[in-house]
Amino acid sequence: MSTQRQSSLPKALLFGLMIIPPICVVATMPWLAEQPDAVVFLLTGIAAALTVVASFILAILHDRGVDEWNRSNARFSSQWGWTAGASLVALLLAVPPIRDLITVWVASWTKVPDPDPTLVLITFTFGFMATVVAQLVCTAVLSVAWTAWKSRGPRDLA
Amino acid sequence: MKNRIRVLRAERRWSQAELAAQVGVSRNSIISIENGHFDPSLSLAFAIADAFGCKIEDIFERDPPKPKA
Repeated sequence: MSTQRQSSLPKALLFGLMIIPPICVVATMPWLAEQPDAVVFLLTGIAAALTVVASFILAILHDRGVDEWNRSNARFSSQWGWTAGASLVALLLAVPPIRDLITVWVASWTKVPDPDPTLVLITFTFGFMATVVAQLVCTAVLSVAWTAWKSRGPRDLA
Repeated sequence: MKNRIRVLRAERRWSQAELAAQVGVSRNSIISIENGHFDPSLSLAFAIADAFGCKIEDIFERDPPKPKA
């Protein structure tokens, strides 16, 4: 029981660390809009990094406590989930009301009265593409690293 | 991959949950393996064989090799 409490406490902290930064960014959007770009990029960058790192550590902790059936489930879900999610964003960007909504959000967050919709959508699309491409590159690099790691010499089994 | 887990379990009157607890996996794992939807790793296959006091080949039977095109 106490062991479970000990292990659930860091998980709760990590979960908080994962969801609180994006909430703070959204909640402080009006204030952020008045700050210099450098401050905005710094704070949102820190928030994004905290969320990514916390979710990554949570995933590792969770993975340690599950069996191979659950790991297969997670591998299947994440592999197809990423693909489905990325495809969904690409499809949604083709829907005019969604494009209008993105422009309206940008206008309300940045207090720019009439932002250029094309500029907003191109920026959004480039941001999305940058994320997808970065994931592809990181996946390829990690695949090479994993191959090298698993292809090393034999362990001393004596 | 075919297996005799259901038969061996019935002979010992073990539930899926009891076998799962013995080999340290979830009941879902045992259900999927029993139904042939999930092939266990070598270490899990050894653990299942140990639980039943059998050899791996007494429990698991590999699928016939597919004909080469």
